[in-house]
Amino acid sequence: MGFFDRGSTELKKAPLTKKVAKLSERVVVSTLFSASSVSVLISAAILYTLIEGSIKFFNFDEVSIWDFLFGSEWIPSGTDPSFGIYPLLSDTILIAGGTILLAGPIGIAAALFLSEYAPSKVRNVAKPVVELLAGIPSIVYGFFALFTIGPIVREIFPEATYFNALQAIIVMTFMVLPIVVSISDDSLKAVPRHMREASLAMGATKWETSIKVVIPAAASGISASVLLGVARAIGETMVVTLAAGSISGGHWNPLMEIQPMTSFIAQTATGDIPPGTPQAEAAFAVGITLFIMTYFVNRIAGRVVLRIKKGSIVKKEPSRVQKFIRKNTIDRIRKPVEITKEMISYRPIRIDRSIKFIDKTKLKGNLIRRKIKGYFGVSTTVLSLVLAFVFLIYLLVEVFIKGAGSISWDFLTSEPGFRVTEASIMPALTGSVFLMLLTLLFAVPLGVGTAVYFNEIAKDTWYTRFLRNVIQNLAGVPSIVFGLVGLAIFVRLFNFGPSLLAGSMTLALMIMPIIVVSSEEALKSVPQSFRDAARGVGATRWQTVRDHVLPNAVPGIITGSILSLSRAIGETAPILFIGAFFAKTAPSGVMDSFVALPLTIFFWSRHAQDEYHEFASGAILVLLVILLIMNAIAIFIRYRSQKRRVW
Amino acid sequence: MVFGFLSSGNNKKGKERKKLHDSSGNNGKRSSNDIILKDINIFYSGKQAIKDVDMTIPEKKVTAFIGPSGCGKSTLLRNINRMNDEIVGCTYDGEILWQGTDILEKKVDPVALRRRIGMVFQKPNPFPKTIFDNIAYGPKLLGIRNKKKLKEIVEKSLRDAALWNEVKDRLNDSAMGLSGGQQQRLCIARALAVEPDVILMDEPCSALDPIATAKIEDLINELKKEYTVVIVTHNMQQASRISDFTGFMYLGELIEFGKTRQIFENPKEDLTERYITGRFG
Ligand SMILES: Nc1ncnc2c1ncn2[C@@H]1O[C@H](COP(=O)(O)OP(=O)(O)OP(=O)(O)O)[C@@H](O)[C@H]1O
Ligand SMILES: [Mg+2]
Repeated sequence: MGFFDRGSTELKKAPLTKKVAKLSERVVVSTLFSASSVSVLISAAILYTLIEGSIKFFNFDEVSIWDFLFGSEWIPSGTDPSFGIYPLLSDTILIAGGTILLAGPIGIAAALFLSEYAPSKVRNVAKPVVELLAGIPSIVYGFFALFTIGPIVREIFPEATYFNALQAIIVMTFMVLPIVVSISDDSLKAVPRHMREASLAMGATKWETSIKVVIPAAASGISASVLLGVARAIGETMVVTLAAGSISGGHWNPLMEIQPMTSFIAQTATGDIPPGTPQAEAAFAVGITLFIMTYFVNRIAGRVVLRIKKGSIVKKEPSRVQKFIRKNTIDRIRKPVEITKEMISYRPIRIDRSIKFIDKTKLKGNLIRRKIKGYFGVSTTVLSLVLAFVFLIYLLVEVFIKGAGSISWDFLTSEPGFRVTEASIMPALTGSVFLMLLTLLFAVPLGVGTAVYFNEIAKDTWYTRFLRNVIQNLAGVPSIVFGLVGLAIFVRLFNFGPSLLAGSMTLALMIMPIIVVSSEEALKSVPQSFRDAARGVGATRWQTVRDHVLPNAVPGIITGSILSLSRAIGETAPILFIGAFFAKTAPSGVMDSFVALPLTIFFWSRHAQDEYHEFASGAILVLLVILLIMNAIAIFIRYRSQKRRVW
Repeated sequence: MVFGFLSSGNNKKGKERKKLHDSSGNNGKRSSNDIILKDINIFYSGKQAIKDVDMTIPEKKVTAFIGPSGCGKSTLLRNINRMNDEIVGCTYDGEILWQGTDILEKKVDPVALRRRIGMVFQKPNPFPKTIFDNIAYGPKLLGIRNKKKLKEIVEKSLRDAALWNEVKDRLNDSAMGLSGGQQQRLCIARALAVEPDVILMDEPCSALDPIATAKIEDLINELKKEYTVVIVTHNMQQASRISDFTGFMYLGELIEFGKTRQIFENPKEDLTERYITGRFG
């Protein structure tokens, strides 16, 4: 920093000044440029991992691509293994399809209520509460599915097995609900008011207007929200691994045990699968299939979402070229023709009102029926939202009741022993804290640097557009795929081993795109006039950013970074291959092995002894409290900066 | 020129002036189909947009609201079919008597009311559906499912809106592909399809070219033989061409109301005269 400061004032008169300033400027700009290009490296790492692993897999004699694609059996172990992806694929579709079948209607209904019916006070409270569902780590959902929803499912369907698809589907419904709700709500809100008024003015009820005009007009955005929900459900790992079982099915029976793709990959991380066998490498081939699926679903959805953000969901704005062509062809030639046609064919005629089609005697009954329909409809939307609240409260209360008992000073701080009574989360707690700090160290500079480069330095070129695309795609990569990348790149290729360093770098890859997005939002909220003023008095691009833009964007950047770190600390799947479940001590260096809270929760949830399930709830409680504190800090910072804001 | 002194007996401040030009159509005969506004006050979140408006809108005539931008023309118009109910924070008091009921009363259902008092907006706003579906939207809501009947309704509405000849062979095309003027006539046809008695129009021609405007004006001339038409316009020539009665509004108040010829040729109020002659500050 001092380097630049000197350049700006003291040396002003020296002839060299200009060059010094230019040099420093160039150094900074190229640093930012490199930061933004790291996303390309990350993407390359993902592709390398998946492709290299898959090649290894298909090179085994027992394996053939043909069988993989078209075989109908998935028996990865034993003397006569068989690797047909079909059962894993069908289980994935069963899970994702079932989830969206529930989350779609519930989410759209809740969004309709929020957008069309909720008074702004209710809306302001309800929206963040729904978002809370997205902040709960998936391992917590998995735990809840297995130990709370599971018994209920088996009560209702006695034929259901202990692990089954249904309990995972029920819980995942609420996991993907915030995505469906928030994007549907955005697109419903984007429907212009005059459309609603046109319908209401004809004597349509509000409900009829919602169903017949508003929803069709927002259809593209709503379908995007559903697609994003599907992508999320396809990529979800921990819930299915914990609650849905580990026997690949292909039977399409939600009451039985299944194994979707993500769950198989997770299993290779946790089972005792000998490395170097086809069974171990199969994870990469499954990973690439998963990656391709989510990639395409996300891409289609992403395009639509982008269009909504640009505000053209109803009518696509013609491009400048199209407008030019239209002006010079259609408008010049066709319009006069049309207008002449209009003039010739137009003749007002005498209106005869004696012809009536509407039977006035039936109108009253008709209106009553329509009103009742409306009441039912609106009640359904309210109910959908209430359902989400009930679920959230139920989950939190359950975790609290189950977990509060196991929390003690020893549970938090002592070194764990081998007996049940000596369980402690101390290694996991410290592991998580270290992991978070290291992740912050890697992800924040990269993410913020990228955001600054995009928003302040770069011009709109094919390369920046390409980078944006890359980052958007990264944000949609399932977390278990990052797990594979961490294993292949950091643990094996870079030889970091299963260490804190490898773990935090993996998590950093995953949250980098999120930090970019939130930092860019913070930068965008700084008024353009600040930049113009600074540039106007002769500041360089970077000086402008450093002195006028960044200081004003810092609260937003911090808020966004904290929120993405809280996402990282709750993640299980990316570090599933790296963490050491049996770590008994806190890590003391970056190359040490480690265990983190979500991993401990996962491990204890699968433990045969019931006591450990209670410890798992205790650990969940601790994890949720940490997340709560982080979120509270983020909200506090945002609130304070908004209060101080003078523009 | 005949003036009917129709004000209700209350003696609020400022009433005197209004009484003078409070006028009704039909040569002073009152019809229950006239729309009688009494003491209308409208507020947006407590901020007053319309102050003490009294007027009688005569049946089967064209009544125009004119006045500078922001004077409350749209606000007043939208109260006549209770569209203001849909705006959060909008409140009103007063009475609008029509066919023997005060349509502002809570027990009057705006949904039923709006079928009978239709509305056409400033910007043509067809639904992003086919031409046919746009027109059939209202009748379908009213429970008409019979395909043949729907077709008849669509044809008649389009004919009455003078659009039939232009669109009869593309009823299943999207309404968004029509020209602005055609879209606006489609919106009128859509309003006619539910067989209303009154049609409110808020600057229906302001987004249209002169040819399209002329057609809508022709159409309004036809419509008024069968419907009561209330139109908001910025265009003084338009008001003088098509309307039978004109109300001049300023800052939320109805400054003057009377027969169009009288308002334009012999305004009673200084403000009106200055506005009409374009000498407005
Ligand atoms: N939805 C609303 N919320 C708050 N205030 C409003 C709203 N709509 C209109 N107003 C205010 O009420 C007053 C009257 O507005 P209105 O739209 O009725 O005027 P207008 O005469 O139709 O103007 P224009 O000729 O520009 O259409 C204006 O001061 C306007 O700002
Ligand atoms: Mg207006």
